[in-house]
Amino acid sequence: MEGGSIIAMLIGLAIIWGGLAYTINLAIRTGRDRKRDAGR
Amino acid sequence: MAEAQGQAQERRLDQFNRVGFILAAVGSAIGLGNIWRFPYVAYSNGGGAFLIPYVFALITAGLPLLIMEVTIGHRFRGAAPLAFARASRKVEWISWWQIAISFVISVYYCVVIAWAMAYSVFAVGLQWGSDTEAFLLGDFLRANVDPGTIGSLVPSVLVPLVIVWALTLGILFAGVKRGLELAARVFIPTLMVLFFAIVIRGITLPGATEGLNALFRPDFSGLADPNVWVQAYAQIFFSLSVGFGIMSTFGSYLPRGSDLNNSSAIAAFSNTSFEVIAGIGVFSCLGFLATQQNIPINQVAEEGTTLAFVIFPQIINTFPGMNSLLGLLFFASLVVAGLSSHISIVETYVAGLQAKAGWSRRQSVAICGGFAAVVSLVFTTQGGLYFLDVSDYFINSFGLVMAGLAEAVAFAWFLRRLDDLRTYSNPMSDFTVGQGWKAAITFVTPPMLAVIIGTTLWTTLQQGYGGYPNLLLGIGWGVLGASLVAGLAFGAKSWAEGRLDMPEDTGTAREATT
Repeated sequence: MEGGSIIAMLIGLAIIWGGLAYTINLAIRTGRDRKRDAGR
Repeated sequence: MAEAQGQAQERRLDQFNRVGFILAAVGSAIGLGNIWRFPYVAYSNGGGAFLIPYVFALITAGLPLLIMEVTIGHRFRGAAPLAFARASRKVEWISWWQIAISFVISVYYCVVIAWAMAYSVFAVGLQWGSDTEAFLLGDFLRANVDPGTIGSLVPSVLVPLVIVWALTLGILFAGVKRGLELAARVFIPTLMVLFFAIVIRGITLPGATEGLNALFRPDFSGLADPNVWVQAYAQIFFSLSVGFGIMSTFGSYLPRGSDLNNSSAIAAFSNTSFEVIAGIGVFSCLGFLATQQNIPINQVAEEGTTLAFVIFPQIINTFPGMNSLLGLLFFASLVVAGLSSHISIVETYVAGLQAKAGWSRRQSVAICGGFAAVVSLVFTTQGGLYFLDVSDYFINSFGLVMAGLAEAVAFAWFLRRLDDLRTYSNPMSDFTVGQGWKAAITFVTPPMLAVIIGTTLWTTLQQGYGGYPNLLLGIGWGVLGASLVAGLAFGAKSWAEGRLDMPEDTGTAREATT
């Protein structure tokens, strides 16, 4: 593949998949916090 | 009043949990357009550089609208028209307009799923032969009639269509938890497995890099072209299932205190993640076909039904091995992606009419689904392809975008309810939305949607569409006008006494979080 295409593909995937990973991680983290708070 | 309380009781017992909601929203958003529209739009609008306006449009329009719709459904605790009516009777017609649009889309979308189902069978033994276009139009659809002519029913389309409706209505009959949520829990993982198998095979084919270069080669000059930005906003808008009334309806099925903002974000990012992966799979296969036929990729790069039912059978014919299996995987993934969206589209008018007419869920599924199934027969005739194409163009390009624009303007400018909505959703969500979210819906989304409508209208008035005769274009405009009239008519009809009262399980944002 051409260098420009590889860079564009990787940046695009990193932003979009990074966004997905961030939001899922946030949901897991806050879910855990809520369970912990509810247990107190 | 007792009837309204009964519906509220039924609603409390039959709800999504968070994962179920996200999967159902993802299932609704991921449809045929992710597979056959996004790759071509990206390729023809700057390649890799298109990802910049695309992500920008996601953040500034798609996600804000999605959060708004989900919050409306949850805040006002009802199917889309009931939620809109509770917000203000003056804007209820917009929701009915969206529901009329959903009805039109559902009656032809199911036919395309039926085609994909038939092609899953044809893939075994590559029954489409070497001239795939002649097979589609002649042998399969028998579309040898003039555009605008109905012709006779085509049994090879009718039989899978009956199966599609049986599956859709069967799932809707089962309700929210055991129908919509269970279907999403089965369909989404299945779709991921099927499509990832295709992508992995695609990128290992000879010539795949040619396709990926064509898809991702960045043309930054395109960023100066306003049309590229318009295409990015249009793609995000069509892709996220906003403007249908689906997300408000789904939002109403979330229990009180549920996160709204982050669940919407997860659904939006899942949709775009799948879309980009689909682009990689599709263009790997197109690069392979172009290399095998020794032609430039622009001669095989297509979108829509041509890509799925003409070009992909050619690709499958050319695969070095396991042709039938890969054909089956591809068309099965189209069926799964299409079905999960179709179910959610039908759900909008099933839930909407259930609320307004006071029917039970099963009554509503039977009446609405039965009526829609009968209307969809028009698209299984010999002339069905042309009716489908023209209905899709007018209802998608104009109806959906106009109703989305009306919705954004109504809540941001006319009712000024955005602060109320974010004050409601923020305390129970993983992240909060602020003035930026409000500005996106107030100042970014409406002008972009207006520009999309304006450019499409200008092109259509100048050039018509598809070279079709005026009669067929008139039908397209007629379908568009009828959806608006239906919206106004249903919106004008009054609700049974007490139906607009908020049910007991609803409260203010503060109550919802405690």
